[in-house]
Amino acid sequence: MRKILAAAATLGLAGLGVIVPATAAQASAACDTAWRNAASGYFYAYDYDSCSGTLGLDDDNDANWSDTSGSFQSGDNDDAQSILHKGTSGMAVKVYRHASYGGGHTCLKKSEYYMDDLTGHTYTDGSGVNVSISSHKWVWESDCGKFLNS
Amino acid sequence: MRRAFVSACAAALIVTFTAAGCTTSTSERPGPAQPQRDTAAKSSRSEGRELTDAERVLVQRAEQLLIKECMEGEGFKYWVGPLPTVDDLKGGGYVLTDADWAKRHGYGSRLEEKLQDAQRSDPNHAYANGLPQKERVRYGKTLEGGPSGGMLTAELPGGGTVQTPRHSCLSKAKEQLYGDFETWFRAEKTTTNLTDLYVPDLLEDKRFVSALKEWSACMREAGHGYADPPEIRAELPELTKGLSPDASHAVEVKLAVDEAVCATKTPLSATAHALDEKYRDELRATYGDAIATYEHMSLAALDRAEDITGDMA
Repeated sequence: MRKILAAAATLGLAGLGVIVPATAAQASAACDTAWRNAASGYFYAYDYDSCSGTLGLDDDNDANWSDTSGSFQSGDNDDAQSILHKGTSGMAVKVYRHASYGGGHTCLKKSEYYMDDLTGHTYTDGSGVNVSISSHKWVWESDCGKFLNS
Repeated sequence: MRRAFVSACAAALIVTFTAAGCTTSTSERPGPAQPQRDTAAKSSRSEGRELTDAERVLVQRAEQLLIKECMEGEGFKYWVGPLPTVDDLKGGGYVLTDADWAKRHGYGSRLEEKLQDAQRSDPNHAYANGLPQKERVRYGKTLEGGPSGGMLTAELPGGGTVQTPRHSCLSKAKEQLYGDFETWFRAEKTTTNLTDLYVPDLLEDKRFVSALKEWSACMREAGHGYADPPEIRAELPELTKGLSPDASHAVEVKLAVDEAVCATKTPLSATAHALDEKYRDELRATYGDAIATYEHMSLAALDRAEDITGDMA
């Protein structure tokens, strides 16, 4: 397996070896490796399937992936094709279709590790998650999957 | 091409696990003997229901205590928490309907900040990131498992699949709480991902659309021109930009209270709750087994959580 360390170095992610899958059989293996090397307490999003091409990592919320603040900026908007969760606490990461936590949403819970291909995943408004994430925040797990909660 | 292959792979995994007995029904599954089966049976006799927020917090606390016990057994340090309060678990829905909550928290910005601080300052992160590389890998594998121990795959109702490792301190804690981790994982993934299937229809339901119009008119009377609650959330950062924390909170509270008051003064709250229940009930025809399993296992976990937090607290 070929490690593309240059990309990781450019992004300042020393030690994160991103493995480009040669075949689909390696798809999950690549995310497994990314997960194993990920820093605890962080949410990661990737430009491509199989946790390759890191767009950014965040232990914070980011209300707008298309602005110039936060861990995800401008070109990251509507770009993520796979995501990963390495929080050690019991929180989930809620990703949204629009900025300011608007539009449909979906959650990646701690126990779910990663989504190695967002194609086929849908937001609560029925639209697709792939190349469509515009904001994210950390939430309690029970905040996920409810239309009303008061 | 690649996607087709991945889908086929996921399907094969599901078939394998189903053949091994991982259906969503607890009652008919032969499987290995479950020491907690008595409690599950006791709870399943009562009518199924979702846990209250206070009960969820208790179960979460018990889960953390079990994880701590497991991690310490493997030679690691582990800190329980952070844990939510009941107020933390409200406010994230489509519309606020609790004016008292809104008065205390607005749209919950301060609660979110508190959550952020708790997430960032979780001592477990610093501890794990400070371990030597080899131990850090073992920590991650012990806490959350790894692919070498086998992965469970669940298909989400709206499409896509999620995976989780079979063996870890996390899965062990859930196994102790819920009785059977595989069954719980599948039932939980199905039940907590049903919104994708009905919320788009609900939002277009003419009863909802009509109630929303009344809410919007009520808001206009209160001095806010919004067509729906998501519009307020989208505009909130702009509305509070450059304000002091106190002034920002005041703007948020005023809007949030008006939103909640208008929701209960007009038919919006009642209609949204009734339709939410109606649409979810309709999905029971397809997902009823998973929902029933989820509810019964949650109640069984609550019984155990009461014992665990009593013994280990």
